[in-house]
Amino acid sequence: MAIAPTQKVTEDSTDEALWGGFLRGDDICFLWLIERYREQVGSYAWRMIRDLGLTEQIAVETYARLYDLKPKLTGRFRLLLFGQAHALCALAKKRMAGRSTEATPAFGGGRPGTPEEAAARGEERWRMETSLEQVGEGHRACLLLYYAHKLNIHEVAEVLEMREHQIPGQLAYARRILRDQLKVEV
Amino acid sequence: MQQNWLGLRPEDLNDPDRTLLARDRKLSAVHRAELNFGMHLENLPYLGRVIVLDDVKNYAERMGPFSLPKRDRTWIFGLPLVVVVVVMLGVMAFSNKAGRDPLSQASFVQTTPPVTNDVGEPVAISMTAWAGQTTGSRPVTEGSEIQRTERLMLELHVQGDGHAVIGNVQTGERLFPLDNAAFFIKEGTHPVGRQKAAVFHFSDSAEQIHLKSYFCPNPIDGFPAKTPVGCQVAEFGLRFLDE
Repeated sequence: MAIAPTQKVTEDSTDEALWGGFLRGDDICFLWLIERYREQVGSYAWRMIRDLGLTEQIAVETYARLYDLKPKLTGRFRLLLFGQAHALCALAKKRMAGRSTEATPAFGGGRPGTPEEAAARGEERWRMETSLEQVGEGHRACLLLYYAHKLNIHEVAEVLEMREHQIPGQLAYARRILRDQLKVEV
Repeated sequence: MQQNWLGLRPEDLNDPDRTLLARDRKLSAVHRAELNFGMHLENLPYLGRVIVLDDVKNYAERMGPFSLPKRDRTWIFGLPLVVVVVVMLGVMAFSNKAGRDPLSQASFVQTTPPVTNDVGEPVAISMTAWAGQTTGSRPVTEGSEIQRTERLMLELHVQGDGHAVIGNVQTGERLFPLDNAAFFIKEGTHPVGRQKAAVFHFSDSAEQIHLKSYFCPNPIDGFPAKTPVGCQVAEFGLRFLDE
């Protein structure tokens, strides 16, 4: 019986190939996955909880959980990653509800700043950030997972524990809310 | 109709939606605008601290081992409601036991009893009935219950030929045939009626109906309380359901 040659895994390999390599014990594959998605995980957590300290902790813990739980996890890597990140964001939100700290200001893309600083960085982005903050958590998560992080409908439903057919409606409503906030006519 | 699929990425559209977009330029323009609007979220940056593998390993060693995040068991909040509904249904089923819809029992009753008495001897006449309303009819047996709104159709099962008379025992009223007319039937099963089965309505009766039929070699007048000489008799009783 012919044995298929093992495909060489490189930095440019697919998520699943890298995850497979990591499961076989190759930590460098996990490093590449971290580099590929670290900004996306941070970006999602930041826009869900608006607390820079917690965001960094969530980003690290998301990967730490994948690193630690790898034998127990099954499914597409992107789904596993955002599933963990979303669960940690929900946990952080619960903890934050009991605290009276102010969330980090939205403008600044992750760093505190004034509206003037924000304007200097880019007015359009500042408006998007502040408008996004006004969208309810569930709808915001739906928008971010689908449009910003490219999960498909099935994966978004899986992460948000919803039914697949509900997602297009959620997205349509979330876009409408966001558009109203931006006062943009499409 | 609301088209929630507008603004989805092409790979998430199904074939009918794609066909619709290909045909309808206006809809296609709206779809593209919605999608482009959503894609504005694609390039929002993250300027937080960049994490590296060592951070992850250190965190895992320090905080681990981890367990899989438990999903919120929101369904558990619905459990009391389910229990209440089940209990209510149980109570309703129990309290409604006596008033259950007789139509539901139709398949369990015997439609045509054999023309025999209690010890299996053949008798000359027996009576069965059908209770009906606008939704249909069902066979009813001796002693069973009917609703006041139901009308009754009767059947006679006879051995030999003769004249039959049916009457209401409680009122002493002759029900069929009226006006002392004769109702001659031959051996077999016959619906009570002339051209078609006659329909009897007993809504004014007290709590039960008690019918009697005489089967005689000759016609009889009225509806005698005692069985005339040479006649066979069959009785049939029904009760009304409590309201």
